[in-house]
Amino acid sequence: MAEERGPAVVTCTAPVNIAVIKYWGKRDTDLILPINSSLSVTLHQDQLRTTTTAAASRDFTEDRLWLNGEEVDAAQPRLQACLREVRRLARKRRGDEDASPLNLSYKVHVASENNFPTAAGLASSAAGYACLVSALARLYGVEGELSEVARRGSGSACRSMLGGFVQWHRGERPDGRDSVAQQLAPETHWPELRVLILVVSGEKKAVGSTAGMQSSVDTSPLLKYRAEAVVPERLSRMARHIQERDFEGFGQLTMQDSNQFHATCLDTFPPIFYLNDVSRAIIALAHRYNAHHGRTKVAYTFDAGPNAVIFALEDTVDEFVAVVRRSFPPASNGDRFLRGLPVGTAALPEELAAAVVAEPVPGAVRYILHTKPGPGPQLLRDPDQHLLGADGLPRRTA
Amino acid sequence: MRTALPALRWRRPLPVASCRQGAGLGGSEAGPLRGPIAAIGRSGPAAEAAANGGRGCHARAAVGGAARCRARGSERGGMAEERGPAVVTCTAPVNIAVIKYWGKRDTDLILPINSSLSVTLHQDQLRTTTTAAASRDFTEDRLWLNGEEVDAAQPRLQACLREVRRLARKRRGDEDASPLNLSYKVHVASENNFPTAAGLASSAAGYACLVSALARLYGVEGELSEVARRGSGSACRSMLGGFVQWHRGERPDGRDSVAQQLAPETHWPELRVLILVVSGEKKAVGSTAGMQSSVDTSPLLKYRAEAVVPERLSRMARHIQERDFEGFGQLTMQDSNQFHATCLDTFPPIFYLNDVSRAIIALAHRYNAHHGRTKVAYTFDAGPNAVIFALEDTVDEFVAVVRRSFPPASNGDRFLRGLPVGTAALPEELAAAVVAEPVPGAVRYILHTKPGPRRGMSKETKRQGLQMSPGGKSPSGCGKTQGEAAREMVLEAAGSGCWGWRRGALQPARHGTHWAARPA
Repeated sequence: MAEERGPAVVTCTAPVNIAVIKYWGKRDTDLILPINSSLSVTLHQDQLRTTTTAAASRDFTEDRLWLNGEEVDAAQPRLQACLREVRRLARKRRGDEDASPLNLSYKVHVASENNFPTAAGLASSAAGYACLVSALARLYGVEGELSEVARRGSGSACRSMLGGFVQWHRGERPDGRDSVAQQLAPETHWPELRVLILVVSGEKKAVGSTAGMQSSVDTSPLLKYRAEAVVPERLSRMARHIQERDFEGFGQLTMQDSNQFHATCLDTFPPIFYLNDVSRAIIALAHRYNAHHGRTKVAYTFDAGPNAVIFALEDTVDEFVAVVRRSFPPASNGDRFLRGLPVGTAALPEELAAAVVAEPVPGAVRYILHTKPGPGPQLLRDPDQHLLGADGLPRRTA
Repeated sequence: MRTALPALRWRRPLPVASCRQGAGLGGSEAGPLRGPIAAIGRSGPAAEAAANGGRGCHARAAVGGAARCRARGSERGGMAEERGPAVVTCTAPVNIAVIKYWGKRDTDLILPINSSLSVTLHQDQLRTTTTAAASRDFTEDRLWLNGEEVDAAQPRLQACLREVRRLARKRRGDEDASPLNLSYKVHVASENNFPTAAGLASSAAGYACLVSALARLYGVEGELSEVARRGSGSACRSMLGGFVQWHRGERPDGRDSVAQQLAPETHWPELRVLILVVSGEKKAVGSTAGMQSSVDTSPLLKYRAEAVVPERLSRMARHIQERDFEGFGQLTMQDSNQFHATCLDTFPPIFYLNDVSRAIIALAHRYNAHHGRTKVAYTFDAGPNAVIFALEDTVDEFVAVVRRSFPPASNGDRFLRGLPVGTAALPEELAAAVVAEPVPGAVRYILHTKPGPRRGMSKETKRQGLQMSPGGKSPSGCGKTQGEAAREMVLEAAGSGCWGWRRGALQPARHGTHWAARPA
């Protein structure tokens, strides 16, 4: 190992996660410590993943970063925070047999890509930083609790360090050592659970999460109350619903928490709107669908953007996709409207359609991505998968 | 000077009351006003008798000229001789809450979970007119809204009726008590001078008007906001002009849940209101059901009512006292947003704001940011229409900004209504900074108004040909016989929104008569 024959290179993949009890607001913007705990579902990397290659070499003159092929500023504080933390942890391990011999003073090159379009608004800093941290940690031979490091890049990234159902503990310590992610249940815990992401037609960019949540912390009285009085109780309930695979409870609480998050955005000054008329229409559709069936069969949740994430059990997927297609007819046949896991064609009973489908809004949903809960970050061992070449520069993909 | 009112729905033939032919005048009252205006119909021979004893009634009685109305109780003997329905017409204003009411702690008595604060708007631009009549000949209570008969058995109307009758009963034995038989059924007709489809249709104005008319009918005076509240919570705030607070109250019986004027409409002469009437959508969740759902399901609402609103109320009262538009405007916007936030926190969620509302909100923020201070403040109720507060000197420019951002769909429809607005040239720099992608037709029209009094139309308002000279002769100068004039008046009354009756019952109700029975 002491015999370095070119850059040390590691490639990892990491997943996206969707919070069902939302994180919104920091109590410390440096260490990225949240005002409340949050709970998420990690999604399967077959459908959504970030791939990151990290390389370190004595020949690199500076840290450099490429995202989806474009070079971006590597000096940005969060990237540097992650780097520093990984190196600090690596330094701590010096002296162990397993310690990485990799010289901690070497500069790194990092290239990262998503297998989903950035324009979809799914581009996830969570997956990105989780991937970066995973790759850097492998590079420097750092193991163990890493969610804290990912958190330094982006709060929700800590939840992407684990698969299945994950809780990010708020923590109490000012130094944030106890603000970490923990797996509640693995992705295999609830095999029937499915996720449909309704990618909504793009609009002009809304307020970014970091600025948005700071504004909420500064100006919304309701947010403070949510964090202190509402979320703790919801977390225990949600954990129980997941443990018991209780979709009725899980679904209802998921919808309520999504709405409450957006309510605190509206209570911000100036108000922040992430939901648009299409989001509203999807919400209304979900409620009509559930009412028609007399129970919670689908549950929506929305993050800081208009895309809808719908949870459902396997046996609901086909019918609900048919309902969505009827309500939001694809603008054109060319673009693949259904992506990801297969969906069966379900005939839509006219009675259901009459009760549930409102005035169709063609083209409002660009496509539907069908996925499910998945595992945490993975190491790619195939050298062909590296995003950086031996020269440490992004490889032109074939 | 009043500008043209929005399209009125006056001229709709209304059902005619069944009453005895040849019935003459019924009892009526005059006297000190409470809340919205009372107008009294009277004509014919008895009109002369009405010349006495008016308790400070204003001269502009239905009988025309200088005749004064008959004081309540001053002719008890005459009143017992009922010759037809007792009729009263009132007008009442709309009000806009700047600290919102949303949620009841008692759905029977209509007691709110928090206090609220509102601005009463001027009746020249927005008002409800209600005629209430009682007669032994009426077989049942009946109610017409904007010309359509609706169910009079509905609990809120009955609650108001019961309360007014209860208060009237309490006054029995007083000299001033109404001799009107409390067992008589009532007929009520109500009209708005603004289109229902605009979404401004206000139960507040409606019930305030109803209660005022009924109270006049039954000779009830004093604190009436409590009665109006039984019809519709926010109606109690329409019982007063200017800046009004509806106190939450603590008592389970609601006796202390009343409206109180914080400042008269004259307190802040520069304050203006622009209502941006947004293109209609399918009906959202009604307020009553909506707020109940919020009380039942929103944790944030409870906190708002207990911890946030009380402090906001004192701040808002102070901003108003000090005529501090910066403070007033910012808090108004925040409270509107928080109200809608609690709607979103309801389950299922309630959305009253749509993409156009959001665009208006964003526009307001850009406009204020451009000027470096709060110059306009939005507030939205349970619907997409925007109510914008601004000072007089901002109106012209902001209207120009709105017009540029939401170009009228067609030139025909009057885009600007209500108080006059000057044409302001929009500096291109401002337009570039503030106007986003224009959305044609998103705003149907703008109604320019201002805070208003509890009283209705100004003295100068011309009557609609319902004048009668003293002595019961035909309207001055028209040369008709009394009979002919009477028929004209009946038709006039029928067409003008006060339900009419056949022949003989010559009681043209004078709409919006300005009474100065008691200094405001």
